[in-house]
Amino acid sequence: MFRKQLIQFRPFIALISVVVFWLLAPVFIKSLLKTTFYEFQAPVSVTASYIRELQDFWAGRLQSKDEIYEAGKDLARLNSVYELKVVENQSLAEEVARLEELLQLPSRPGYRYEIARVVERDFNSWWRQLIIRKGSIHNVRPGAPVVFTGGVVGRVQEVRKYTSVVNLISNIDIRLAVVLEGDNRVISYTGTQSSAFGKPRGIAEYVPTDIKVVDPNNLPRLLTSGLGGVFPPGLPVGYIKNLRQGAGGMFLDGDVELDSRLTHLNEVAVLIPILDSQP
Amino acid sequence: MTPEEHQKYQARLWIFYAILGAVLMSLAGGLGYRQIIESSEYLEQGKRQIQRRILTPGPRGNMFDRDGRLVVANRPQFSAVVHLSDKSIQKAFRAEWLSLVRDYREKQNRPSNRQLTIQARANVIQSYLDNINLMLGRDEKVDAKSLTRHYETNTYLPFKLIDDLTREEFAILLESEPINSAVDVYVSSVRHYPYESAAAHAIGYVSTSLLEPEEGLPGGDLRTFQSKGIFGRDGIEKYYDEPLQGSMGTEIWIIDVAGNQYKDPVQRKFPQKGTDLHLSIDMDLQLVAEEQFDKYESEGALVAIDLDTVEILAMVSKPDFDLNDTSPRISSETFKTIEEKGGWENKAIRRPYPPGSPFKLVTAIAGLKSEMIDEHTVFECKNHMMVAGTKFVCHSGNHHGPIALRDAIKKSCNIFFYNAALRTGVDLLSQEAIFLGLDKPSGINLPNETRHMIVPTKAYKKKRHGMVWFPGDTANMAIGQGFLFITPLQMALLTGSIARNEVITQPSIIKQSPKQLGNRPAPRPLGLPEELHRAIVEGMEKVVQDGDGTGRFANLRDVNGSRIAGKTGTAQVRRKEGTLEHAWFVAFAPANDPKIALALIVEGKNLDEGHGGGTNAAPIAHYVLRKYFEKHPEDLRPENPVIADVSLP
Amino acid sequence: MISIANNRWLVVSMGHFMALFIITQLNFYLATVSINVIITGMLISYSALMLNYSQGLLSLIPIAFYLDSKSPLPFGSTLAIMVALHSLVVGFRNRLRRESIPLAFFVSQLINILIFLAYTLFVAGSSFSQGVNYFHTGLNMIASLIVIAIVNQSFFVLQTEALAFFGIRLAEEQREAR
Repeated sequence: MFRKQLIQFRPFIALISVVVFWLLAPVFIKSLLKTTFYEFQAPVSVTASYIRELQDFWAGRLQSKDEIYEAGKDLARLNSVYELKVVENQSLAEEVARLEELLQLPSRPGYRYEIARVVERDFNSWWRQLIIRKGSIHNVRPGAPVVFTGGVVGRVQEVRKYTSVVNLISNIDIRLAVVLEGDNRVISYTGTQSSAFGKPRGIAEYVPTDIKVVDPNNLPRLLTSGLGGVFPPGLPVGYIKNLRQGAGGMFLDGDVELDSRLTHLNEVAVLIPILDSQP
Repeated sequence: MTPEEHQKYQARLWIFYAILGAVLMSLAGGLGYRQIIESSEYLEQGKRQIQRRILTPGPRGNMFDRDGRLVVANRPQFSAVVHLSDKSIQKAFRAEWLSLVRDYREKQNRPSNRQLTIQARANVIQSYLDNINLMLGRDEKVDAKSLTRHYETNTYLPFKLIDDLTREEFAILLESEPINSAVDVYVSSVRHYPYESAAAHAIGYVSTSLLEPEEGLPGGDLRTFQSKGIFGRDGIEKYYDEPLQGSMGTEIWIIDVAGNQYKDPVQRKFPQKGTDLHLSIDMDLQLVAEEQFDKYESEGALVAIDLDTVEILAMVSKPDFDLNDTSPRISSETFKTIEEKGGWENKAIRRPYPPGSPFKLVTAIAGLKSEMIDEHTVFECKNHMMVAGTKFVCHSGNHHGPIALRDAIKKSCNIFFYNAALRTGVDLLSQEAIFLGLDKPSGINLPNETRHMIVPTKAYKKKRHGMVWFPGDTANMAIGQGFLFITPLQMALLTGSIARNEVITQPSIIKQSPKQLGNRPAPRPLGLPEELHRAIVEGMEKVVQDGDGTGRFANLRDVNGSRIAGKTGTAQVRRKEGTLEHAWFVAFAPANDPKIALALIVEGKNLDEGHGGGTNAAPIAHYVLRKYFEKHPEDLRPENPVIADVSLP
Repeated sequence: MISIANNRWLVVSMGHFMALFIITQLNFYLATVSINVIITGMLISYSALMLNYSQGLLSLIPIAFYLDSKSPLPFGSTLAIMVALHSLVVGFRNRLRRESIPLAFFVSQLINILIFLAYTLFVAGSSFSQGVNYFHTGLNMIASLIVIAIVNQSFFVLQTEALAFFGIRLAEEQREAR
């Protein structure tokens, strides 16, 4: 009789044992397990992303020759424009460097762009993260800024051997020191929950009271300030959509509309600081 | 499966249907459920035990000058703070305390439990601060005493680790500190004065203190923690403290049994900024006036009034102080420095001076109104005259000969006014000064206006000095000496009253709306017939416009139509060691349609040193009036004939 | 000799992993509309209803670790949730007819809802949260319910077939047991 009762409660006894064991398990075991399981599944995810690329390739093969020809022509046109821009940028960069030297400004940290494909998009209502196909062997480090053509993507949260987890800029635990375009006053940007089906969002705090949102087609644009030491200056973050009274009564708070492309990124760039090599 | 079995299992399946339904129902009804619970009286009682209220004062209103320029603003002060009630901090406190107890176990002189607690807290907070120091390249130390005080009285308010972060440091902390860290960035508002010391006395300064919570804020019955607010200590900041104060913000937090604070407040009302004030001060005039005082490091005061609205255009008091030195707090060193140089006092409204020669205008008005003299009355100036056996002289050894009102004003002839006053009598003279409002505060909307101005009467002398009134006292009073004491503001109002031929009082330092102007009490007529009034104005205009007038340094010959009427003066203050001479100058312009009146005094620096209104004070007025006409060319009256050409009788 | 019958959890675990892999690919595309599907409830449901307690638990532990390794929640959170729910279902399953398809459907849905609730609670209690968007969570939950409603039966059948491929015939075993 007693044995039968015990069998009946076996699941719960097992549950309690597992929980207690888990609470008492040393941290290194947990972290070892975490890494192991992550690395165990990583090749599968990476393979899936290669398969997706293959799919895209075959999908591309289905296009008619005329379409491909037209796309190639457009691309050639764009390339020539970009080539011009590259030359222009080079001369501007040289000019900036010359002026900085003249003014004896401290040298700014340089960055190398490590382009990475997106392996997984884990966007639920609790957190939003990307898994990218670059890891510690590519010198990606935790906390590194991640960008794409539209601006800031987020920061590297965890780094594995061949992959990294990127915390998206719309996550609640991401905070940036940003400025408004053409202004140098520091504003705090924090991620917030995105609306369902909506664009990813954030919140701007400490917005000076003289800032107004007047024209919905010309919203104030937030850029990275470069002062926080993580992101280089001038990267687009998002647009302030509306403003309201802030917590201290001295500033305004605003909702920030982020780039809608953040939800379907396929490729990002991790910024890797170039350390001054000692002679 | 038999039908019985099927029925049995089907019945059990219904239990799952029910559970699934219940879960979905509870999800949908969650919001309504919470609403019902929250409104129940039972939980109200619980709330008082588990909720804490935090009050944050709202930022003060800004101040603008009459042209809308920002004169007083709020500057954000960026701080790095730590939330002492955060769970991680509480945990760290306990761990550090235990570690200290272990460390001291074998030692002889183990500190008391309280000392250990204080040390543990300081060590933990210092470790957080060290982390910030590392990020910012600073070397800040935690003050264990203030930490303990804060922890014991204001646990739920953030404790400031560094309160003067630069923009860059603020940005570094924003990006580097995890958002859930007990260390946070905090922005408070402190007063900022873009014009530094300009109009410092009129604007006034502020201090920080706990403010009385407003009525009707939620959670009045909860245990409350309150951040310090800012209140006005002097000037407009004090007089208009109530409208300038914003409304307080309230946050109600849930506290667990251990006193830890939950992550988000259950109720929040944002603080609101106070009302903005639009001052009547014109910063251009104010700055010009102050610049002139500063040029010769002069001390004294100046008041300029808009005669259409009786608003203060400029109010100077020197020495002064940089208002930014008083914000966010006045250090004892700063306080002492300002105290030593006498910078706290707003001389324009606080310090009564002997009015000197400009008071001769009151003597003239009293004589004319009582018909004891008229505009053509001539007295012989032989440089001196005897009054009841005492010799009274004209100033600077002048010998004016027969002289009438206009020239007497122009040349500031003492003998003329001794005679006029003696003819009029002290009673009528005092009565006139009292009628002009010189014996009482002007009622300006500023705090601490002195009540110690003196217009002597026979009764006053008897009461105050126990002596009868002598004719010599009348003679002294006639030229603004003796017992007379008037503030620079009153002198400006007197000048305005003469300019307008009506008594003006109750000036305002706040720009008045058309409605407020409409509600102003109608001014009393001065009571001088037009031709007599004109005679005084003509005399005053000669003071400035004539090449040999005492106030000629104030004129604006190159500005066509800038007809200035003025009166210079030297007030003598007798000290034991000698006499100190203060230079007065009062003026209004344009003479035929007055728009601005001003009075200024430049204090003498050394005893027995010659100091005159014409040379020391009039040039300051010159620059102020020039600036006024630059800004108001419409007030120039070039079409009218220049009064100096009018032939004397 | 290793008995496949005693290590059936391995087969089930691989099946779970395959299901999660497919859903991850689905989520990659659904992310563009901010929708995220979770089918963990279905996996627990299979392990709890079709295997014995220990085998079920063993089949879920690697899956829990796999999910935990990718989540920002403290490592072990998913494990605790899954073990608790597995135990709950096992505790009640004797009172029900386990092989019934409608029952499997309802258990999967119910457990999935509980997973959403548990995650929301964990997130609300964790350091990186500033409140939960209930509407978005609800939307994801409904999307997950729909996906489970579509694939639940096929998943159960496929998993059972996979076991049958290794000679483990669950239906027969259950009949014999009765």
